[in-house]
Amino acid sequence: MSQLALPFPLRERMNFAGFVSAGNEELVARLRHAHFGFSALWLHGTAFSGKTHLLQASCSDALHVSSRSGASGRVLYLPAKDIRAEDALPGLFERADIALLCVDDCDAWLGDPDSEALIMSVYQHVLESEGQLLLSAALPALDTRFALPDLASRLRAAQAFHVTPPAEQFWAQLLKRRAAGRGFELDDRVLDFWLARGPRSFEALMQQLDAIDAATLHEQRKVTVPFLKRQLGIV
Amino acid sequence: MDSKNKRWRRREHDDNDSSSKELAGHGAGGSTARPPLRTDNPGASTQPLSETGALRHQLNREPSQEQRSGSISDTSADAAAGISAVRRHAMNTAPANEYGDSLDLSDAACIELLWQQVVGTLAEELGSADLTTYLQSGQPVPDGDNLLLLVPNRYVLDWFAGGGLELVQRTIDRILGRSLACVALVEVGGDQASPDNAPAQSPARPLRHGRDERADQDRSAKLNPDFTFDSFVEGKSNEMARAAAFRVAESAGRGYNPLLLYGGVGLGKTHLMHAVGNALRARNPEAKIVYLHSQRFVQDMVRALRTGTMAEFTAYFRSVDALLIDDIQFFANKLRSQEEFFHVFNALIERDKQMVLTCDRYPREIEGLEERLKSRFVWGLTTEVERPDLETRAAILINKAASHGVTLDTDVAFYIAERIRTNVRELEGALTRVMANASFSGSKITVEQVQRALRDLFVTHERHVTIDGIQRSVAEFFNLKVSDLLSPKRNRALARPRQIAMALSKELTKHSLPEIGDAFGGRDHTTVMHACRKVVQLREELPELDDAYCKLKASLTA
Repeated sequence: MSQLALPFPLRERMNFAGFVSAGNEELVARLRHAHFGFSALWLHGTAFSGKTHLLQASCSDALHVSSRSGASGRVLYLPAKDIRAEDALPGLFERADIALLCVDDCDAWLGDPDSEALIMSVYQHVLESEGQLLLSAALPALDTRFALPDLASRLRAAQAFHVTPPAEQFWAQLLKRRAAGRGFELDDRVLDFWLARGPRSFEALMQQLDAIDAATLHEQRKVTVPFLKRQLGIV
Repeated sequence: MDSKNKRWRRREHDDNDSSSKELAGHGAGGSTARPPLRTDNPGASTQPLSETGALRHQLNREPSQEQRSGSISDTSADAAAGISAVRRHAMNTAPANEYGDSLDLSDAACIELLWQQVVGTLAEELGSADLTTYLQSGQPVPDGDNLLLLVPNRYVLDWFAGGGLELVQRTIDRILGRSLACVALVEVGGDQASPDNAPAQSPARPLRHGRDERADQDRSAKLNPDFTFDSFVEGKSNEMARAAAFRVAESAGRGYNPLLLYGGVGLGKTHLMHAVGNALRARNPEAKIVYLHSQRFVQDMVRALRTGTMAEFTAYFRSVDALLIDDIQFFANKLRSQEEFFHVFNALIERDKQMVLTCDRYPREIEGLEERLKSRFVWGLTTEVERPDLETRAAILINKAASHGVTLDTDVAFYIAERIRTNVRELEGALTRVMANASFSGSKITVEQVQRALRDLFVTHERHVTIDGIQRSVAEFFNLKVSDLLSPKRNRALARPRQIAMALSKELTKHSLPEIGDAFGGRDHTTVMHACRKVVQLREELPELDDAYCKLKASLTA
């Protein structure tokens, strides 16, 4: 009998210590640097380039700082792909100061005038709170379609950073860490085999990791070379 | 349902079903998706709400036998009315703690301290996503012997309902070392309405956010002290607007009333508006100068309607000495807000109180705005803020850098200004990026450093050849205004550049002939065809025109 896998991915702890910053040193320094007054940052990059990690790490840092200093203002992380703007945002701009608002995959909310009007309100609120706005999207703000020119000009004026996906020499380390975060192991032999024959993009490897994760849970099997071959159809 | 509970209700979205459907929230984003903490009470989270439905979850301080055994049960107290569940938790008695018996639930400071400890304790247990998205969204407020936990939306409510509340309760018990004689009430809508028994002046976040208390008394947003007339860089594009704003600041209420500044986004309208406000305040610190974005006006009005405080709302706005409202185009299609604003407008004008408004276009062009408002908005002085020319853009950059203590070389300023022509906001955004990069790399700001820092931005900008951009480049090249290119005038000094701009639009963009005609003041597509043919012919006959065309094309596509 096979294990029924519920569609709840395991959460991984995401902090700056666990982020491979090669290629993104300036961005990481900017995110970790204490900042006073309002600022807006727009992070863009491909899937699995590390945007979510950076947003969540920023939240972690901000929470840590506020708990130590007793500073006011809320720290919020909103995954726009999972929550509708009209559910997530209305409560925010009517309330307390926001120290840091992270909106992951914010492009999911853009293009719709009603959602953008809400984002505009929240933008104004963060501005008045002198907080930080951290947005992630697939494309630069200039390439993103907006419904409201007012919001477009504001977000296009945000400091834009391209998030560079991890370089090839870090893939093994990252895959191992991601697998461990999901509760299974990838030994060096399996990794060498996989990386030698697998796809040449980190995004594709991460998608395969998802598939392996589901398969190993479903079949209650350790990840071995034969298992990997079968799952990925490598002959 | 009693009147108190009615007041706690929050109007839910009409499409509750879809909202409920999405509550599972398992996006395809792999690591980005986050599961609900627990889903042992699916009924509470997926139960469709009535139109006026509210969700109310309660930890009762008089647990039943069943609950004393530690289980959680839901009682649908009034499902039809939308009350979803009453939750009861066992209260354990345990040793005393640092609070001893002195925890005073009416003391906001105590509640705040306790909540910080709860968050700190659970920070380890929860992932940062849950912590920031859900737990931190909770706002504990004292309510007599009760502890109210306000949450902003159904997502957060469902997270608490799915186990978060139990976790919080356990943590509180652990921190206090004894059972807390309190009722935790989790409510959708939070501070949108005050409960009857809440402390009279208790905002949703009493300690952390003293600003909210202030906001209740003063609906105004803060004037930005950096936005003054001195820090405003004047050029041909904005000299009229600056002069008008300056005049208004000198003789508020007596001269141009209202002053309406309109123009594209990010060109300095808000800066001038704040400059007026700052100047008025400098002259009379006691004056009630209210600045706010039009959306805030709408939000405050909606809140006033909901809480039955419209009289206070209107009295507040009618009592100001100067009212500065940004982006009035957001009033479009909001009829009730327009109605209220209309009365506020009349009251202030009658009493010679100054109003300054900004808009992204000429008010008569706003669809969904009542005629009576459109006509009133242009009663006083209406002036356009245009896109700055190259020299003004460079001066803005130098000025902005100087305000940060950075000396920007003229060649660097021109290098950036030549490449970013959209608006001042984006220009300043680019400068911020350059300064941050220079600070990070410890390098001097040079053209090479700018190229490195703004590489991605320039590439994106250069890919974006738009009709708008072409019109600006051509106008700048021939020392004209964009409005000249769009005007019906047909004298040769305007017609030639217009034809060149049309030909470039045809060559460099994917717009159709009718679209190009529309973008040039609503001209016919045959006019565009004629322009394209004429430019081909003239380029063969007039080398200087061919040269101009090539230079423009090169600069647009470089």
